[in-house]
Amino acid sequence: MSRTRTPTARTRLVRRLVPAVLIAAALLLVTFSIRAQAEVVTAQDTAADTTSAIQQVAQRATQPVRDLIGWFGDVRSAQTERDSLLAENATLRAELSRAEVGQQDADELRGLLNYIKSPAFPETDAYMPRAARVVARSPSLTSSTVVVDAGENAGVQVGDPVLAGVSATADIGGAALIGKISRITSGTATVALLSNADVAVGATVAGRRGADGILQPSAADPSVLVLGFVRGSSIVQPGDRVVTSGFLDPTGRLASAYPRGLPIGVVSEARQSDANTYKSVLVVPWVDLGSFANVVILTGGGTS
Amino acid sequence: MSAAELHEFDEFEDDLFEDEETGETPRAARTSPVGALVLGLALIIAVYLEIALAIDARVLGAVPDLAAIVIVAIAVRFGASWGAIAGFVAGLLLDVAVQTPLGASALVLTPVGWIAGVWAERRRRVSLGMAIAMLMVATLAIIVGDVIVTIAIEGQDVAWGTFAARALAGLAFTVLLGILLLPLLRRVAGVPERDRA
Repeated sequence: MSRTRTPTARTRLVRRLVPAVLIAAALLLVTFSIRAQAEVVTAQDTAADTTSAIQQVAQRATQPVRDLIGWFGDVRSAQTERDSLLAENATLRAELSRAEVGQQDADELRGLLNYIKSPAFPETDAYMPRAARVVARSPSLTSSTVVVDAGENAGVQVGDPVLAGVSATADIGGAALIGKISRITSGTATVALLSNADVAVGATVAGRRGADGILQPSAADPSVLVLGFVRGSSIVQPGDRVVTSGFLDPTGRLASAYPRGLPIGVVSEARQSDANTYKSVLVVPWVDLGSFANVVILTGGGTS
Repeated sequence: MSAAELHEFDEFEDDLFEDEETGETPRAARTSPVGALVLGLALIIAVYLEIALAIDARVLGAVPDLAAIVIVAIAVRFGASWGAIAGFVAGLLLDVAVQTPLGASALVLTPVGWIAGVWAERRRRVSLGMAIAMLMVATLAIIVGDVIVTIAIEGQDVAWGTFAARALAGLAFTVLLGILLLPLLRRVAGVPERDRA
């Protein structure tokens, strides 16, 4: 037997008021947050520090699932290697335990740090490498930031360069630049990736005299970066390596936030129309900016 | 999937034409405290799982929108007001965790939760098929709303070709996962009394 109840005026009012109040609250929060109102930002930072432990648990708990999904992605991009690795990977992943996951992370970070301290890495004496784990990333399709588990307490500062491990299929080993620290709390830091419109890096094509420019994200393809303002007369070929230029003005007062020579990516195409004085060089980053779990932050560089 | 759920699928097409907008508030759902608690916990878990999966487990650039699935489940089960509240809470959790401007995600998820609830309240009954159709619309609305907010607040350029491909992937993953999870959530939280009529 069906019974229905006609809504009272009060019920109707509540039903309309609830979303209106919530949307208004969201708008107010956004406004205060963008204008960096101290109370809102502090509250969010405090909450972020408090919840970072939950995020770390979630990150670790989902590691096997993420590994599984990552495995499918690898299979898609490297089908030629699939047959020989498939059985081995499946077996290994089935045996993956929590301890092994921790060991894997530690090994990856140790490898990154060893590489950064090795002679093969550019001179970064002024910097102290600090390993960190990615604990959150927006599920948004346009996401270009990640949150890592090292913040002010670990000596991280806004503007510090951030690197991540390069996949084994790349033709360089070790690590490459992925972005810079854009915001810090006591226990976490937000990394603005190279695909973020707020990030611009002074970069140069290694071994090509005068091929310096500003590296920014491409508006057409988030997986590609554009090295702009490269002198038109310079010679740039696909396959050339792009690294940070680490500029320093003659007075020494203005220096790049990035040390010279950090690997970034490889040139895929160089464009120049007759009307343009400058070349536009398309660069594919060595690190897949959409998928990495560990990073190294170069702290203490005294960025300007 | 149980025989009852399959039967609901069969009724989906009929529901699309036969369900009438009654204009009445359905009888208040018989509130099960355990069910409500489970859905609340599911919302929190969904948000943090989604964030964790987004770290390095994106497929075709997208992850399933787990929060949308739970918000739709709550909106269907408890109505528009609770749908809006679920959207607001999920949005705040997301913004705190990924340190985007506080309220930005809530601005998108709150109206989606509310509209899903209003839509459900106006139906004599909401079959599983209809809930999944609603999830599809809600996910699309979240994707579109999210990109609008991103452009408005962060001033990010959007590569539309890539975005469209990722949006399709995200929609497909969410709907596929919704087909698995919505029946579970409905079973746990119980069916609204209006659906028992």
